[in-house]
Amino acid sequence: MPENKVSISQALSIIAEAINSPENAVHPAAELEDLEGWDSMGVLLLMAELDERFSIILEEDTISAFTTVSDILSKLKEVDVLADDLN
Amino acid sequence: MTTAILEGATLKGVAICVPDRIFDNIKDSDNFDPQEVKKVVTIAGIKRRRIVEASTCSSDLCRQAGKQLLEGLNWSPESIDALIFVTQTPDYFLPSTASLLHRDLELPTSCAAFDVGLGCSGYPYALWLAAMMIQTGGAKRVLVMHGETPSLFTHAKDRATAMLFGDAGSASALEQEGSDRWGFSLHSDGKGYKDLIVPGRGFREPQPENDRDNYLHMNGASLFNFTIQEVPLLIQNTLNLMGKNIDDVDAFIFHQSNQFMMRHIAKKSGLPLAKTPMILADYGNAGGASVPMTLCQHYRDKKPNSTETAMLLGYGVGRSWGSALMTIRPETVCLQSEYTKH
Repeated sequence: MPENKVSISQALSIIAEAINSPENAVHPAAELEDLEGWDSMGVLLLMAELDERFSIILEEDTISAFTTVSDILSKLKEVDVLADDLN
Repeated sequence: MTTAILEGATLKGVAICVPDRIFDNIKDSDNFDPQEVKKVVTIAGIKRRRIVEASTCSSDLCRQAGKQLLEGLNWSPESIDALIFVTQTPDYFLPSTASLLHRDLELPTSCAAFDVGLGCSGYPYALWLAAMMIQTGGAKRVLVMHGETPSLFTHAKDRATAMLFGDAGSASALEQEGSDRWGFSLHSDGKGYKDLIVPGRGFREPQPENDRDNYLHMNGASLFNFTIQEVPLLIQNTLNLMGKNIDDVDAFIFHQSNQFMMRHIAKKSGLPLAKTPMILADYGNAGGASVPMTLCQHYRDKKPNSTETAMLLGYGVGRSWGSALMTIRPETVCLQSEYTKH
């Protein structure tokens, strides 16, 4: 695994920590709007975390198209920072 | 890219005037859930804000700052050659607010006075204008006044902006003296004009159907992306322009947008947090006026023994952004007062 790539479980932890959401609530099928911490401030916190950790700039259109945690994981896979395959 | 190295201007003093009314975000934010308030306070870093009464304008705050500064420097009003007033909260559409300040400060008819309609980036732009006037010899003494009352155009129930903004007025005195070289880098991207906008109240839409459009709309995600991409570049370009590195700069004076964003930019740019003073815990985001306010508080507290180099950074509404890399002398006067209504 390249040094800067992460597993799905690591990615879920990163998302949970960034938006201050309980880790057990952040799973691929979770609806973002149901997640504690996923609000306008939470979005900015996630953007900052992904920029800092992976130098990923999340565009506004991309963010507004996210509905589930799985969508975020798909984006991470698309930009080649997710080591695991998504089912 | 507009860049300039200008020579011969000195910052003689800065005065700040803030409202005496303190809004405590934790205790006084009745429109929001306490947990939500706590989160915003923690992340944005804004505990308290100074906010004006509805009848107080940014010019009122600037007038008091201007009078205090002229008195503190022992400058006669007759000696002022130009007044630049920067704001996005003018008294009227016309005349320019600079005219009112010109009257109130009893400046002479030989003084040029005009407004600049910029917000978060306005202070570096105004210093650029003033330093150009001084370098050309057209003016020896210039007053730059920057005031904002953004608390008056935020909607009380908009969770994205209601807890962020404070109000402040400033006055800065520049004089033709010495041979210090100041560097400026100034930028615009009008495609982002909707990122921070009050759609109503102007001539485009004087009376919007939706009352919400009479207040500020903010696209936080778009502004965030703009900021984290452009401000680190701005810092680097300004250092390159002046042949300096981070170690050569004593303070990076940011527009006080919010703590989380400022820390992120500082980290991304490799700036030590100790060199990026933050005052927004007690004052909130006072728009572009937060830059002279931070400068004033930082140097009033620090009292340097020798000339320092500071980089001033403004970025936001427009979208517009700019920097000034300048010298701050030990004798630079830094004053602050609370607004007293007359």
